[in-house]
Amino acid sequence: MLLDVKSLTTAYDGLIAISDISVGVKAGEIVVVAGANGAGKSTLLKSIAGMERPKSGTVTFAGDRIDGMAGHLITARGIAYVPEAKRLFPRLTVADNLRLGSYLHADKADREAPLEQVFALFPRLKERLPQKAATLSGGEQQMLAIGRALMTRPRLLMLDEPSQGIMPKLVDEIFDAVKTIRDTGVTILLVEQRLVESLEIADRAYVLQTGRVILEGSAAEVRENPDVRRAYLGI
Amino acid sequence: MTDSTLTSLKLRGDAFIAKRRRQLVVAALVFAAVACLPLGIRDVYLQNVLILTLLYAAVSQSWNVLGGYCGQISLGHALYFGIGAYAASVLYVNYDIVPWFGMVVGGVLSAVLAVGLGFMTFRLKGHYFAIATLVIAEIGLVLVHNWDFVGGALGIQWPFGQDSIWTLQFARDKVPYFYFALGLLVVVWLVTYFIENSRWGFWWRAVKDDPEAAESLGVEVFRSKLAAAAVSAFFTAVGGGFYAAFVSYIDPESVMSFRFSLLFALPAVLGGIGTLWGAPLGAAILIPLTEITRSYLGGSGSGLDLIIYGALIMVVALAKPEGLLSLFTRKSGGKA
Repeated sequence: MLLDVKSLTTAYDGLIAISDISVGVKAGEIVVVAGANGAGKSTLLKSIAGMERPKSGTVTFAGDRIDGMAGHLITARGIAYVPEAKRLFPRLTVADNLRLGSYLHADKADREAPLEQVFALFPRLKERLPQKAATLSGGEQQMLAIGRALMTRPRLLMLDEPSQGIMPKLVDEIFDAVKTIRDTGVTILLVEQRLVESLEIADRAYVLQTGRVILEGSAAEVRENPDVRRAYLGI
Repeated sequence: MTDSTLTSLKLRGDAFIAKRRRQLVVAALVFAAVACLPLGIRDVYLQNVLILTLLYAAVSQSWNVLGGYCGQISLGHALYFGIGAYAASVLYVNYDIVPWFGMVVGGVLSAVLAVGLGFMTFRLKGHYFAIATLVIAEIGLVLVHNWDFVGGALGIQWPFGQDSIWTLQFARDKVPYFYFALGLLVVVWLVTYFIENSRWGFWWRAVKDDPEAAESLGVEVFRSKLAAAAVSAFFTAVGGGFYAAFVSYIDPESVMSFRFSLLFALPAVLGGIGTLWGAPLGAAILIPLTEITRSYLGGSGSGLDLIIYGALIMVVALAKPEGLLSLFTRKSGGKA
């Protein structure tokens, strides 16, 4: 397991958001965590990324415990986290937003190396380099958020609802990009409400409900599960 | 990979480098023009106003490092200004150490203190942080009031001596002070200019915009704030040391009162927070205004300048929240 989450519980002001969740991601996989609003998907990612401090349980990444570590140290270890709603720096240019991801690496000459991959994935970003991030469309902003995260050269990329607020045509483009990113050797942990589309690219999936894992399995198993079919696929 | 593909993949193209160069050229022209002012302005009173304007521009630009770029609004920079003024005065008057050195000592002391205070206050957000800085500066003022070693409420009088560049004492001619103040502004401006395009500069702006997103990119949010506070406090204190040498007499109220904290923040806010020219522009408007109202309205009108500031800030906040500078800069980065 590249990422091994064991019995993780996180609470906000005493209110349990996720309870006793165990999730594993193997190197090279795309794992989807699905569930309705408020199921605890975002809290799970935040707890792994160090944005929320878990109450109990462990997070192990590449063999080391990382739970309770500061967020920037977790990023430095190779976990990039693209938060919900993109969270770009709107007043900075596209170039400077990308730049902010690259500073993690001390070697100046080498900092901009991931650009090649980012531009190959999202050619539009290259055209938009001198523009302020606030002027991008929703889809372009999501591309920038993912590109910015890739500049940190992660081993694991965690995406929180990348399809949110994006026109359907671009959703496919984003999901294709996620697959391409995986093919270049980055492991993916994807949180999504759009279960159907995400299962198409996923290897395995977890379904959360009110802070607990209610179902896990290969993408095919989850797709065939009668409860999932009823709840998500409308069959 | 060939050279051409390498350069084509750079984040910063030729246009960016040209823009940076242009900024430097503009700065050189502006500062050169300002440097010529004493040639035409012989009136001592006007020279005084010019010197104060440059000083406030420099200190406000220092404030801008923490308040504008890093987004941590301090209303207590009078504390650092006072430390600079007192360090230079005590070292010169009691130990005969030239104020050039005293200013640096004050700067280092302030930077260290700013880091120490930052450990406590940077956990606070928004208004709470601003209030904390205000309260801490007031505590500093009370302490100095009651500290006999630094003259207590009586303050410190610099001895009259021969005019000298070493002791920064010029009784007959104010022009050397003018050039020192201009020099300080140039230094602070250049520091801002280089930091703006450095890792720290980007980290600060990221921390200001969205600390959580910044942290997810590996930005050390807390340390970023501490670094900004240290740089900001250092140059504020150097300004304070210069001010003490310039006025030759300091007491707690005349270098550490809340009024100064306001006067350091307002030019940057008025001109444009987090920009290269906002603080100097704001100072060029506010400081002459303040000096003129003070001299025409005399003692009875004290406080009237503050009312004018209040009104100005309200107008800016309502009409141009980005500051007056945004009136002059072309809208860049739009979809064209």
